[in-house]
Amino acid sequence: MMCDECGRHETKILSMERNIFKKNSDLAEQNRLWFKAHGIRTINMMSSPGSGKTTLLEKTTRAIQPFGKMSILVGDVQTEIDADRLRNAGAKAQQINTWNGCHLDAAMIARQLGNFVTGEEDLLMIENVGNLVCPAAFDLGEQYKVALLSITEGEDKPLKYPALFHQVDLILITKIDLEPFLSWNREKALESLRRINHKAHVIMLSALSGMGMEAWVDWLKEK
Amino acid sequence: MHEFSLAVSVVEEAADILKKMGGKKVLALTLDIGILSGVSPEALQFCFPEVILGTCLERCRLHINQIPLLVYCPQCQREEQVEGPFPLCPRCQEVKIEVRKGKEFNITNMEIE
Ligand SMILES: Nc1nc2c(ncn2[C@@H]2O[C@H](COP(=O)(O)OP(=O)(O)OP(=O)(O)O)[C@@H](O)[C@H]2O)c(=O)[nH]1
Ligand SMILES: [Mg+2]
Ligand SMILES: [Zn+2]
Repeated sequence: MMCDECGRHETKILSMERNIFKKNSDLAEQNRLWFKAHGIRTINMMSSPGSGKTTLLEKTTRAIQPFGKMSILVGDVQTEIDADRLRNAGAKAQQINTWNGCHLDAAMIARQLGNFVTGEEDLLMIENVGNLVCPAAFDLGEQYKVALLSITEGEDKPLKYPALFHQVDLILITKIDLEPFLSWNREKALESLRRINHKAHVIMLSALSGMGMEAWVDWLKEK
Repeated sequence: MHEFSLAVSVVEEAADILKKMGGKKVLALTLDIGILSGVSPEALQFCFPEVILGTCLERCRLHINQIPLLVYCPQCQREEQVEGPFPLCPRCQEVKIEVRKGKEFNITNMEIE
């Protein structure tokens, strides 16, 4: 074909189907193999900012101690605050700062394997950056994806972020201790979750009061 | 921003293909973006001109095909196109469906010289 602009030199049209996420998914697949070879269960936790990921992991650290060895990778745009909180709670935790990025990707996880993540763990928890858009698109090599939805966020959040809620294996409805103080409608929330993802298991819990924590720990042990 | 880093990945992939084909410049690029891919076409279109500055895609035209959801409903035993991003059968409202299209994020066409 002739060039539109100068009408002189040749241009070429190429047809293809090249997935932009492929580089990340290939790397995620390598991570997945590494986890499998070392017998580690890896869980990617995603939610809006402030839904209670770090608080839940603080509580999980204590609850899971008798059952196995856990490490935590925690992603944030900046600061070590969350990793410090987790270490204060007795966890083995490592911060990953993403700076310009608003999500973790498979390469950031790969760099931790054989280093901070030694391979002796039974469980690796990954707290993704608080964000419901970007983490949905980036496979980290985890076996399970978990979404947190706090009841202060409203019942229709899943409908606004279908890409994320559609693909998770477990949905944790958090801060359930606040239910008496809010006009939150449990049925409506469950209905919007079911519309987006009928396969996911749903657990309602409060990291503060401890309600539902047993079901969560049981789910972790099962996995 | 999310789409900024995705635009960078698009440029890297395109540059990679260009190099393999022995071309010098990418003049036009077409992307398929599924409605359930988590990628916003508007935001991507918005940051694209900035991302391509100083690359072999400089002044490249970007076309985006938005791919609607296509689901297979085992109840109705047929494929149905869905309006919007909600994965359920538009005929019978069944939620136990299979998503067959709508998650793409692909380069489908490139014009190079
Ligand atoms: N009432 C109540 N508050 C909670 C609960 N869990 C967390 N919070 C509060 O919610 C706020 C945010 O909790 P975090 O655990 O920091 O949330 P996060 O998801 O880690 O936040 P980012 O890392 O910034 O995305 C804190 O003030 C917590 O004390 C809960 O079960 N009940
Ligand atoms: Mg946190
Ligand atoms: Zn149907």
